[in-house]
Amino acid sequence: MDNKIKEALIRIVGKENFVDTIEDRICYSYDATNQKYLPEVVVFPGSTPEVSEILKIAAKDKIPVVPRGAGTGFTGGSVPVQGGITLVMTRLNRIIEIDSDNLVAVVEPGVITGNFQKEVLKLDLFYPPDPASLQYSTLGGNVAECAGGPRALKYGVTRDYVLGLEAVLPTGEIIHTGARTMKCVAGYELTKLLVGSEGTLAVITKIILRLIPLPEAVATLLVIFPEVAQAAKTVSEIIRSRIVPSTLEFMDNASIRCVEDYLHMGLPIEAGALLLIEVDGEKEVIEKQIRRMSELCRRGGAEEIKVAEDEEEREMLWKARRSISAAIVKLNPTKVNEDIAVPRSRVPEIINALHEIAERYRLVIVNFGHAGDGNIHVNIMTNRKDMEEMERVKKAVEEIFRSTLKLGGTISGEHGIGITKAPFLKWEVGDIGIEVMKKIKACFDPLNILNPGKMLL
Amino acid sequence: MDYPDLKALGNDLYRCVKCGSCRSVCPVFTEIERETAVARGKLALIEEVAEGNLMMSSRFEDIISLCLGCSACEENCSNEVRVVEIIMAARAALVNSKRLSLRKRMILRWIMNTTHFLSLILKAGSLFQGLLFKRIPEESGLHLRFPLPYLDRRRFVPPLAKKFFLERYGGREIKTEKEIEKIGYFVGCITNYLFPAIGEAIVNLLKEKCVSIVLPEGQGCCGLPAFGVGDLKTLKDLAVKNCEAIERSGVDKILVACSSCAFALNKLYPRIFTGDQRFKKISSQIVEVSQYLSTHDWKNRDERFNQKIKVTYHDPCHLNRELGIKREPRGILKSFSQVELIEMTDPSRCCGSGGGFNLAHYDLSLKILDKKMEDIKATGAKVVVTSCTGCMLQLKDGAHQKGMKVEVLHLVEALDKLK
Repeated sequence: MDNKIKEALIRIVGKENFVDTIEDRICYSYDATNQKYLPEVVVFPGSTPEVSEILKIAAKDKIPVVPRGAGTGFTGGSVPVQGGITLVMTRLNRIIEIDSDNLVAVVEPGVITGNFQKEVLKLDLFYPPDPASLQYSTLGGNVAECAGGPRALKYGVTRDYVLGLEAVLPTGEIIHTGARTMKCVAGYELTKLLVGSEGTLAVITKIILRLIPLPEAVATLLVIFPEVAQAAKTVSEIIRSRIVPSTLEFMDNASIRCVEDYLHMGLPIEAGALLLIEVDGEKEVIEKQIRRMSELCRRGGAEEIKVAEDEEEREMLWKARRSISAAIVKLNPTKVNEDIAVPRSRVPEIINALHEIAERYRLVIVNFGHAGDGNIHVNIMTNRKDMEEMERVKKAVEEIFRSTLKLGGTISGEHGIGITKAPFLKWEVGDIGIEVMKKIKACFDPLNILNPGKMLL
Repeated sequence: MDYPDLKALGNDLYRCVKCGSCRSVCPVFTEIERETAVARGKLALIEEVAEGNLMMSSRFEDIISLCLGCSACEENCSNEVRVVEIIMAARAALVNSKRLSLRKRMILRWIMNTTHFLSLILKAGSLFQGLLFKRIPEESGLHLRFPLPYLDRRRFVPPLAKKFFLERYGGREIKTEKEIEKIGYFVGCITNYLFPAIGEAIVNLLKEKCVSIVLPEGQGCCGLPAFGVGDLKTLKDLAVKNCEAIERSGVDKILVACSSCAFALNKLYPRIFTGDQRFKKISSQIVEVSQYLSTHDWKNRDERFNQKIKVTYHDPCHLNRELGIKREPRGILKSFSQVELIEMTDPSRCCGSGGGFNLAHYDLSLKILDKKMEDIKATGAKVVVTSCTGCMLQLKDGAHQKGMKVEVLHLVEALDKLK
């Protein structure tokens, strides 16, 4: 990169918000996939006009720009595969407004999701989407990847809460989409197009979020099953019985053991699987739901049902659930992480298929996640230095995707496509789908400078 | 050198999966908000250095110095990465490659190694304090008259004791009548030179329980400050001196009142100097003061004061996270009816001292301290009790900076006063 360009960037953001030493660049070369690609420079803009100016400069010289929040994604979305400018959005971290009369909030993209949830909680309001990274990931990143989380079962995903956006196009032009109202159909639905666009169409600089009233009470259950199949079947039964818990999470034996090894909280390491179920709502209603669910679980073969006695116990259970992703790496150093989703009635079938694939390819596969909405996190624990095994991993991943699509599912429930799943996008959306997506990308970003190399578009 | 070089850390170095959850608990990251401030970033850099892809530079040294060693990241890490150990190994590697700045090396190795010399210098300092420092009458402390390396002028410095603790009793056994037990006492620098009242409190408390105290002659600095900047040679020299002093003293149990010193003698020495059985032996002899005091009954005391006093307790990082001790200090405080123990928000959040961190990064250290002082203020407590002399220095500076009228006491001082 020309020094003149670096100087121009420094003039926009200030010297202290521009870094280009090799050490600083290494620290912005990865996300949670631990794949490393070096940016050429890293800038920390402090306002929307600054973002706009930066993109204008980048456009002039066709320099790639990669927006980044906390850099904690699972598909390489914020990893700068073609170098260029990494645009760290974390300085834009104000909660601009919480409008409790209209149940709307306006936030900047760098706000940490968990902090936002705590703030609205003070007003008895609720922002449900709860990706496991909520204590350190940003709302901007959540919007760019359309993050999900356990509560998606009852409350939906990030997309369902974004009413409008302010964003900067790859040309530097600033666009406003959506409205502060619950309903809006003014032209094409650009807001929802940008949610989940993985930073390839525009840089998000403001988010208008919908809030809902805080449920009166919440109850958390831990249900222990001797066999995985029983747990999987019980999931379907619960949904069929028309109870809608707010979460219905599933952990297999391997994930239980890894977390217990870390937290020593007395999790059942001999269990085949466990379900972590939450119901929320009015006190009387959830009491009824707990009784009905306990009955269903017992009929499904549950050997123990524990209800969390207080907030502290509840927090421990969720800490356990959120720790799985990192804790399982003690099994093997390389984690190949897939996030498939199938219609929930077919969860038992996909679980079977996953076991069968693991056996046939002689691989360690840990499964856990949002069984209630059919979104399973499939983690192949392997060692990237073992070339022979990596070949088997490659074939196993292909089979996992094939089985998923055959059951009417999707190759990504909530992690996005990024780098890691790009080769398989075509399998799901087809050639025509890819063509249309490429055209949309070209329309927003004719020079292909914004997060190039992602989604193979 | 006993300590593994970076490559020898092997798989431990690669346990980090880059999930980023350390960002949610790191006090340094909370202030700086840059990936270089947090465990994940530092580990990424150390990996590159270990693999030979990156040369250690002064930028690397700066980044590696930006760590309190508080272990909040380790506590929160689902994959249990030994972050602080790895960062300390990197600091040792920097020293080995002669990257440690000349100034730091000179000061540390020269001063700390020569305990006797240090005493002389500090004695001179104590006599000539008036020249160097301006006394602040309202508080028993000092401000530097002019800038000195490491000591920011804003820093509040407690005056050097007129008579150092070890001087008062030097090598003597403090015998009691009807001696039931004899215990050694490892004093540590801050108690010896700055807060001898802590030592006096221990003398009083143990006298009451008919316990004689042996002060191992030749004991010196525990060496943690040297370790903190990667100077393993000085750490080894000090460790050996302390080990020999303890061996010579012939006592079985060694009481340590400063949490950082307790960590150094009980955990650090055997962890670093793995080949040497002497350090394992010493380690097994160490008794941390709050654990020791919990074994005694302090309830039958003359509870003259009926008025309740609000007290809060700060968990030193080394005591809580490394030694796993947090119940005992609270238990002791709660056993007094006149103590109203109010927990601050996040009592185990680091005070920002981080050993040498607050010397090299004073401004940042103050920012981190500010949150702690705000949390203390919110409790309304008149007294903040802790068990680490390093934390005490920091909290006293904090109280001064914010004009807070809160007394900072070591647990033993509080116990001694409550009788």
